[in-house]
Amino acid sequence: MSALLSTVNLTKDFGETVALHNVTVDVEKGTTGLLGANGAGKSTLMTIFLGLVRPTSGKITVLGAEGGDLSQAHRFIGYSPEYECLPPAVSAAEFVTHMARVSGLPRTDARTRATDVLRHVGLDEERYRPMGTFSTGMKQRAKLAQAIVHDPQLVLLDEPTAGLDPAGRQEMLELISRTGKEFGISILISSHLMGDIERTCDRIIVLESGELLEQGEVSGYTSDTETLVIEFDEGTDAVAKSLLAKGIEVRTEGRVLVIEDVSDDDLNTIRDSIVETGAFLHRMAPRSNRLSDIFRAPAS
Amino acid sequence: MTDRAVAHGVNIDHSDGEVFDLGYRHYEGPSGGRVTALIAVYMDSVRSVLGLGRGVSAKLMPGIFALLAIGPALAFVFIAGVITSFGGNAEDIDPPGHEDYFGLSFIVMLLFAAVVGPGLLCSDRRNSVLVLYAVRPLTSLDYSIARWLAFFTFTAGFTLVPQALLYISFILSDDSPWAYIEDNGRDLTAIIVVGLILSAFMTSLAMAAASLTTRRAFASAGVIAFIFISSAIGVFGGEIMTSEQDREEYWTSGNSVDEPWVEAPDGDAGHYLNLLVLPNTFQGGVVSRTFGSRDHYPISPWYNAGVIAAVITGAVGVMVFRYRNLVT
Repeated sequence: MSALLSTVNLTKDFGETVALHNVTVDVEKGTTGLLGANGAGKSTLMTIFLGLVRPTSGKITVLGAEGGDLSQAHRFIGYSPEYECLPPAVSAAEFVTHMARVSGLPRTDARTRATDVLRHVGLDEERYRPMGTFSTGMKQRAKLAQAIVHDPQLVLLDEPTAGLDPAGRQEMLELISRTGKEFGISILISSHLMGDIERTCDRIIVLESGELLEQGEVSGYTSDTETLVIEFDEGTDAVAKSLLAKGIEVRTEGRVLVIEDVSDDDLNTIRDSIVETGAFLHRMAPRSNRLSDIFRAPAS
Repeated sequence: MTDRAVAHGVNIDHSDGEVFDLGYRHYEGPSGGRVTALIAVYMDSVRSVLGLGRGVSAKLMPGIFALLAIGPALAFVFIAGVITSFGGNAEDIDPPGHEDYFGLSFIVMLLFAAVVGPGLLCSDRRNSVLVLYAVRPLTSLDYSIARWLAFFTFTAGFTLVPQALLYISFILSDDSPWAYIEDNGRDLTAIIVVGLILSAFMTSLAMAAASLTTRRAFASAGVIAFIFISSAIGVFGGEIMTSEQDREEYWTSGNSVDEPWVEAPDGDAGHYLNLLVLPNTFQGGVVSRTFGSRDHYPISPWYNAGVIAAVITGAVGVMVFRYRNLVT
């Protein structure tokens, strides 16, 4: 699959401060999460992709266009910045229509698209209200609306859940998922919240202190492991003794038994031990990887 | 069920009404480039100045300035029309000439530039909207041009429309309209030239001040302060430099008579400093010279034109420099 965005050995420094160092990444179709702590270089990478900031060195490709002039690529890209960027005295309908016009749409089409997009993001009822009266969640939706009003191939969302309460976050993430899957618009979403990325993205790029830590399919980082986790309501110690006696290495964590590298034969033995000891089984499942493990493990 | 449906034998049960959501549809229509984007920003600026899509107070300002700029001319046209229709002579009411009206326009346009102009640039920067323009097919120069042109449209309109009204009024109230046009044909050209210069001057000043701050009030104060401070320097500096006694002191303090600043080609240094009194420079030099109503000048009127041109060029330069990147 050809990448929508890519960099090769991208470096950006602001004087003494190195924001990005030798970053080589590919952003493919679908929803990609740009994960990292505050100051990891996520926003800098986004602004370089948008042509707002020039890299110090390295190569960048945006929708097939290499390097400097991204004016053509801008037609096919949408952007929602992290900070507030909405004029408070203007209504959402007026602003989104205007942004559609600036993106090159004729007047009538711009108006129609703005109405459609505001309905899709859930601002149908409030579209004639001045945006200064919007809640944080509504502002995030309005920002998303202006970013997709010209029907871009790719939209870059910088911290789109910033400042939202849990319910608002959930709604925003669902909207972003719809934008990606239902609307068919590829998304690069930056966040420092692993849960947000895990829920919405197909792929992730992980940055740490300006360097690439990981990139790949999200499923690859959240897949099941060979480790078995067994939780008991009663009889944890008895099962542990039984298994040790049968030659299976077991680690006890409270009411939970953790067994590494479980084979099919081991599963039969485990089942027999539970029956023999009469322990009350609560849950038995393979342990899944978590995105947070990326930050614990050394960079590959 | 509607009568029409019954007439066609159609059985519609409204209780089963259903809204069909067509879902997200991709845009497949035409898409313009920089020119479309520039026009969009221009139109947005026009709407912004008129207060369209904004609150009532935003709509009030352009109305007030339109009244101040055009009202006196309209009033004269109306009064002249009434007098003429009753067999009187419109000249009896001592109508303002084109030159006099430019004096009024200078003051009204200065206030308009100070109060309304900065709103076009300051709010975009203050609300961080510029980044959204920067990721669209629009260059920073396109943005600056669109905003400048939009405000220029209003300053030009507010300057030229009353002059046109006066001109038409003079023609209609003259005993021989054709003779008036033949005799005063030069006035029409002068009106357009001076009107455009005044509009460019005020527009550039407002945009330059607005490009230096995100606060509209600071930009407004900046526009007024620029005229007042430069005028103060011009008046007081000019006074000092043209005083015989002070000039003597200046020379005897070690400066040479040949100092170019003191012994300028066409006269005293004070006259050159007086050019900083911009309202006078505009009215006395640019307006009078263009209308050909004054023969004697202490210095060449090209200096007046040069100062006005320098202010316009400098102000445009400031704006373009500040907006060399939409996002910095």
